[in-house]
Amino acid sequence: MAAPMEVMLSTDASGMLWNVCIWDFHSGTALQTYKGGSSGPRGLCCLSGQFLMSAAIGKPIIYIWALQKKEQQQQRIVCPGVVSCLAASPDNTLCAAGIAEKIHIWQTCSGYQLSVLSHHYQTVTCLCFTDDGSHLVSGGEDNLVMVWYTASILQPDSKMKSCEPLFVWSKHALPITDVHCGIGGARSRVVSASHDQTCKLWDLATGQLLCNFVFDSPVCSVAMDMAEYHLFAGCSDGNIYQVNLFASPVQMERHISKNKESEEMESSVFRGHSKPVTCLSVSMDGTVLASGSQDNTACIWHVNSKQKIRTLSHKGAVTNVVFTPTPANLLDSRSKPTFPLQSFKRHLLSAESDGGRNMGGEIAVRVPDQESTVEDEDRTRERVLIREAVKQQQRSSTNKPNEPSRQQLEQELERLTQTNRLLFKAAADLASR
Amino acid sequence: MAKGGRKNKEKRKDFQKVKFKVGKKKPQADNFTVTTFKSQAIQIREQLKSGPVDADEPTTLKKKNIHDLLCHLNHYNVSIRQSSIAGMKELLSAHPSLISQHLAILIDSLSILMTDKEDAVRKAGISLLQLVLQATPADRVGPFFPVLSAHLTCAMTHLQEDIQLDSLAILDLMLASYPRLLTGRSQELLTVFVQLISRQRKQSVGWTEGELDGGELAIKPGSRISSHKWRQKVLQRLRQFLTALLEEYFIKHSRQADSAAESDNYTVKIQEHKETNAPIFAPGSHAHGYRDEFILSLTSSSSSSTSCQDFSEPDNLLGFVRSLVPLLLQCWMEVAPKSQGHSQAHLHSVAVEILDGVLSVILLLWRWMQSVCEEKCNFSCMTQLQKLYHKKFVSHLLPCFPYTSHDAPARAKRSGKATPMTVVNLNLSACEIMSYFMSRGDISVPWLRRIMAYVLETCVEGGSLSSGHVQSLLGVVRRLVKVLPSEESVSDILQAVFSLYESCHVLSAHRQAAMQCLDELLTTHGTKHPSSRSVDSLFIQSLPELIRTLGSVSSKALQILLRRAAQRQAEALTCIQKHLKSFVDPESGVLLKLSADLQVHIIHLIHHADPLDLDTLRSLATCCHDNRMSAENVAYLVNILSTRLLEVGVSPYVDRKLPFNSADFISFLFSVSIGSTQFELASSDGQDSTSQDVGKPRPLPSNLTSVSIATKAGRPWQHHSAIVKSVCLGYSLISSKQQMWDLVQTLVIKLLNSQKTITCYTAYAVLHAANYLTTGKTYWRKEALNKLTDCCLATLYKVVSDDVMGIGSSDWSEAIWEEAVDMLVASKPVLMEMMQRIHAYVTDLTDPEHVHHVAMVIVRLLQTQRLSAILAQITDSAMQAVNSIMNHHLATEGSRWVAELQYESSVVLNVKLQR
Repeated sequence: MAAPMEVMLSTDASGMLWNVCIWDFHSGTALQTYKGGSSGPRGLCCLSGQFLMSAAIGKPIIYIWALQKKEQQQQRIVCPGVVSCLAASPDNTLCAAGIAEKIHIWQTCSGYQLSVLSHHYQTVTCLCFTDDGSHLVSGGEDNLVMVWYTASILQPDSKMKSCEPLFVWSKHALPITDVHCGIGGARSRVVSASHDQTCKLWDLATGQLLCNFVFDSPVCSVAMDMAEYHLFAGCSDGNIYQVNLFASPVQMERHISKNKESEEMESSVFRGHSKPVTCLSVSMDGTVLASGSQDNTACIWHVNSKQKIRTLSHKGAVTNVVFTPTPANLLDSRSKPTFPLQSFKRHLLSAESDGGRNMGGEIAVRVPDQESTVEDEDRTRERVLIREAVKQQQRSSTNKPNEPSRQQLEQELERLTQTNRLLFKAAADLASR
Repeated sequence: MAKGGRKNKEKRKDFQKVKFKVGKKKPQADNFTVTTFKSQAIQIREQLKSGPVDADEPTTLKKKNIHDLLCHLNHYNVSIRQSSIAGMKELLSAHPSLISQHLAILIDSLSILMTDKEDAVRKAGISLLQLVLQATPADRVGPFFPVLSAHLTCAMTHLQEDIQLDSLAILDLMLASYPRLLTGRSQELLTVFVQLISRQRKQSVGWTEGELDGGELAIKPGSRISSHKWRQKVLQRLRQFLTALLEEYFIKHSRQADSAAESDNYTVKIQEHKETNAPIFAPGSHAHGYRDEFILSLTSSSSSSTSCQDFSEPDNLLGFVRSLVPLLLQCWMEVAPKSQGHSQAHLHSVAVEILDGVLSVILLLWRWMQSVCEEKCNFSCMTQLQKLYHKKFVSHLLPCFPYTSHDAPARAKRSGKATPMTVVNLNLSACEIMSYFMSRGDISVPWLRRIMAYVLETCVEGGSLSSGHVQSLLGVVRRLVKVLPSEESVSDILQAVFSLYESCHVLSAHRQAAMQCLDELLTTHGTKHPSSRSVDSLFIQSLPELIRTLGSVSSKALQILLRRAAQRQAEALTCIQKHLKSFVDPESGVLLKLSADLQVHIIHLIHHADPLDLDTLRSLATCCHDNRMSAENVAYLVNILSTRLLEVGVSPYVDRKLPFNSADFISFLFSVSIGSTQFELASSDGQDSTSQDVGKPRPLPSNLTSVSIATKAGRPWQHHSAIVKSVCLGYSLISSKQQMWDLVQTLVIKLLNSQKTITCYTAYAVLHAANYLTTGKTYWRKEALNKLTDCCLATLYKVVSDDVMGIGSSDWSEAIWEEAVDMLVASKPVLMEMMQRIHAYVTDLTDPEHVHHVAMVIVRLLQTQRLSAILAQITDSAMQAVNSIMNHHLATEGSRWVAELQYESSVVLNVKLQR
C-alpha cells in the first residue's frame, strides 16, 4: 500500500464502529481503525507515531493503543477523574490531562505524575503545547486562558508553593472552547476561541492581545495553518469562517462598475455543516482543512477554493479530527514501539520517592534493535566524521613539539629574501641590457 | 589797429568800475532770481490714513501701541521700563488677542525682566508674565519653554538674593500653570532649586557619595529666608513640583499601558459576505503612538559638568534623594515634638503643616523611586534606600506616631477645619512611607503594630476622607496584607476595609476604589479564614445594589460579579440567581437602562444563572422586543442561551443539566423571533379594525386568508433578520429539525389562530422558521398547512398590493417576498393549497382592487424563475386558479393586468386559455 504523506485521525462520540479511525483523506478510505470505548472532545493525541492516546467520554479512563496492532485496545489507564482534555508534548516525554479544574502532568515513559496544576476555577476544556514543548497553554470554562512554562512546572519547588502560570489571560467573557498554538516555540502566537463569539490572538512572548476577532455566533473550534496565513474558526451555526492574517492585496487598477457588490461577494465561509463545528485541523501544506461537527460528519475542505472535497460520515458527534504525518508503525505491523509506555501513577512523584529513593532518576528505555533507517545512517556518518575530526585535532596537537623554532624560521626567511634579491637583480640586468 | 582798439575797449569795458551813487537805486544784478511766490490755502476735509496696520492697532491711553511698548520693555531707563510694563499690562488686559500674536517677543523680553536689578520693575514684570502665562495654554507655551526655564534657572542662581527670592514666585507661577512642561526640564530646575534652599555649595554638583550629610537647610539670620513660613513655602513648592513630576511620570506610563490595552481595540468583525483580512504585524496596522515630542538636546549624558542629571536612572535619583532627605529630616526635627517628654498637644498648626510637608515630600520621593525602579526592573537602589533610612525614619518619624489622637478636636477648634485634614494626611503619609519598609520578616516590630492599629481605626472611621487619602490608605492596606503572617489579622483588616466600603456613598469614587481593593484582597484571602469568608459573602451581596445605580460603578461591580461567577463561587451564583429576575424586568429592570456594551455584561450574567425559570425568560423576551436592546445584543443573548445546549449535544454520557426547561426555551425563542409581544399584536389588531385608512390596501376577506399583514416601524430590517437567523440556529441546536418543526408548528398555529393581524416581522419570522426547519419530506399537518398558506398568501398579497399602490418599502418587502417564494418552492402542498383556495373563493370577491391584486400575485409568481418548474407540475390547479380569476365578472377584458395574466399563464403553463 502506497502510504500518503499525511493521514487524518478522527473519533466520534458514539464509538459504535470504532473509537479512532485513521483516514487517507485524499481517497476517503479508512486505513486503520482502533476499537473500544469512545473519545471525548480534545481527547486524542498521537505519541511520536507509535501510540495513540484517547480520553474516554464520561469515564475516568485513558485508552492507549500501539499503532501497529489492529486488535482491541491494549491498555487502559485509570485516572483520578474524567479527563476533559489531553495533550502530549511534541517530544513525547510529557502528557498533560485536564481533570476537572486541575491539570495533571505525567512523564510518559515512566508513568510518574510530575505535577498537578490547580489554578483554574472550573473544568479545563483544552490544552495545547507549543511546538517546542516549552510552554503549555490551557483554557477553561472559567473564561481564563493560562500559559505555563514547562520547565517551571517540572521543577520541584522546595517551598511547596504551587506553580504559578506565566500569563493569565482573562479577556474572554465566556468559557473557552479551544486554543491553538502557532509555530515558533516561545515566540509563537496563540489563538483562543470562546463562546462569547470571539477569537483572540495572543502573543506568547509578551502576553499581549494582538487581535480580537468577532464572529456572529459562538466559536467552538479554531485552527491556523502552518504558515499562519489563515485562521479558521468553526462556529456553532455550522459555518467555518476564514480570516486572512495578511493585508488585502493592493489593487493598482480598479474596475468601477455598477454592481460592485458582486465582486466582493467572494465569501470566506465554508458552509456545509448543519450543527456546531467542534474540531478543526489544517494539513501541513495548508491546502486541506478538516472539520468535525456535531451533525455526525467530518468534512475535508480545499482551503483555496473553499469547496467541500469529501464528507466522512460518523455514527455520533465527531469529537476529534487531527492531521498527522503518517506514522511509520502504521504501515509495518511487525515494528515495535521504541519506548515503553507505563500506566500513569496516581500520586505525585515527590510523595512517592519519599519511600524509596533508589528508583529515582532511572528511566527504562527500550533501545530499538531493528535495522537502521536512513536517518540513523546519517547520524552514524556524522559521528564517524566527528571522530575523524577529533583525531585530526589530537594529531596536530601532538605534533606541536616538532614545530620549527623561531631561529629556523628566521634563517628560512633570510634565505628567501636573498634569493629574491638575486632574482630581482638578474631580471633588472636582463631588462637593462 | 582798429581791430586792436576794439579789443582793448571790450577789455576795458569788462573791468570798468560800476559806480554806485548814494540816493540812487541799486541796479539789479545779472544773475538775479525772482524769489517771490504766490500761495493759496488747501482745505483738507479729513486726514489721510497713514496705513492699514497702524490705525487698527490698539493703543493705551497714552497712545502707545504694542510695538512701542515692546521696545521700551528693556529700556535702560528704569522709569521707562516701568511705565512700559504698566502700559503693556493695560493693553494686554484690554486686548488679550495681542498676547498670542506677539507671544514670542513678549516672552523673550519678559523673561529678561526676571533678572532685572530693580525691585519694582522685576515685581511688575512677574505680574505681567503671570498675565501672559495665564492667558496662554500649555501647548502654546511649549516651544518657548526652554527660554523661560533658562532665564528662570538664571534667576534662581543669581547673586542677588532678592532676585533669587522672586524667582521662586515665578516657579510657583509655572507650577500652577504648566506643571507638565516644567517636568520636562526638571533635572536642572530641581537641582537648582534644592541648591537654592540648602546651603550646599559644592564644586561638583553631581550627586556623589560625599554629600550624604553635607546639606543643611539654609538659615541666614536676619534674612528673609529663615523663618518657618519660608520653610513651609519651600516645602509646599517642592511638593507641588514632585507631584507634578510624578503625575507626568504616571501619565506617561499609563499611556504605555494603554497602548498595550489599545490593541484591544484592534477588533476585527468577521463578515459573511466578504473576505476578512486582518494583518497582525503589518507595518502601521495598529500604530499605537506615544505622541510626545522628542527634542534632541545636549542634556544629561554629554554634559556631566552641568548640573543636570537624568533622574530616570535609579542611581542618579538615589543621589538626589540622599541629598534631599537629610535636609528634610533636619526640618522635621526642628518642629517635631520631642518624644515622650512633651505632650503632643504642643504641636502648633504651623508645625503640623511643616511636618506634613516634609512627610509628603519624602513620600513622593519614595513613590518616585519605586516607580523608577519598577521601570528599570532594578530594585537595588530601593533596597539601598530602605537600608539607609530604615533606622532614621523609625527613630524620628514614629516615636509619637498617631499625631491626631490626642489633640485633634482642640486644634480643630483653634484653627478651623483645614487642620484635622492635614493631620490625617500627615499620619497617612507616615503610614505609607513606613509601609515601604515593611517586610515579611520583621512582623513583630512595635511600630508595625501601631501602624496597623491606626489603619484599622481610620478605615472604620472612614467616611470623611478625601479621595487621595482613600487611595493612599488602600495602598497601605494592600502592602500591609502582603506582610501580615496570620490570616486572622488579615481578616481584621478585610473587615475594616469593608466597613470603609460600606460607609462611602454609593456613587462616590471612594466606593469604587474600596471595591476594587476589596475585590483584589478577597480573591486571594477570601476563603482562608471564616470571618473573611463572611466579609466575602457580604461584599458580594452588596454588589447588586451597586449594579442598580447605573453609574460607572455598576460596570465595575458587574465585572467583579461576573468574574466570581466564572470562578464558580457559590455566593456569586446564588446572588445572580436571586437578583437576575429583577435585573431583566422590562419595567424597572436594569437591563434596558444600561448602554449597549453594558447590556452585554448582563447577558453574561444570564449565562451563569442556573435554573432559568419561565418568568425570567418571559421578561427577557419582552426586553428583547424593546428598542433599547440592540439587535446585536438580542442575537448574542439567543446565541449564548443556545450554547448551553451545545455540550448536551455532544454525547449522552456528559451529565450536564440544562438550566431551563427546553419547552420554555422554545417558546422563548419563538416569541423573540416574532418581534412583538402577543399583547402588542392584540392591541394593534383592535386599532386596525377601527381605523381603516383609505390610502392603504384593504385586507383580503377571511375566506381567502385568515390573517392580514400590517407594517410596523420597528428596528431596522437587517437587525430583525439577524435575530431570526440566530433564533433558527437555536432551534437547530435543541434537537433535530424534524422534531423542532413539530413543536414550532403548534406555536405557529396557536399564534395565527389567536391573531387577526400580524406584523410583517412576525410573518417573516414564521416563514423563515418554516423554511429553515422543513424539508421536502416533511409531513404537513392539515392545520399547519392551512395556517402557513394563510400566512403566505397574506404576505404575497401585501407585498404586491403595496407595490401597486406604490407605498412599499423596498428593504423588507423584497426579503419577505423571497421568503414566501422559498416557502412555495420548498413545499408543494402549500402552493397547491393556495391555488385551490384562490380557485374556490376568488369568485366571492366583490372589490375590484382585490381581484386585481390577487391576479398580480399570480402574475408575479408565474414570472418567478424558480417557481416555474414546480408550477408546471401542478398545471391543473394553477390553471383552475387562473381561469377563475379570468372569468371573474370584475376582470374586464381591456385592462392591462388581465392581458398580463393571460400572457404569463400561456407562457409558463403552456395552455391556451379560453374565456
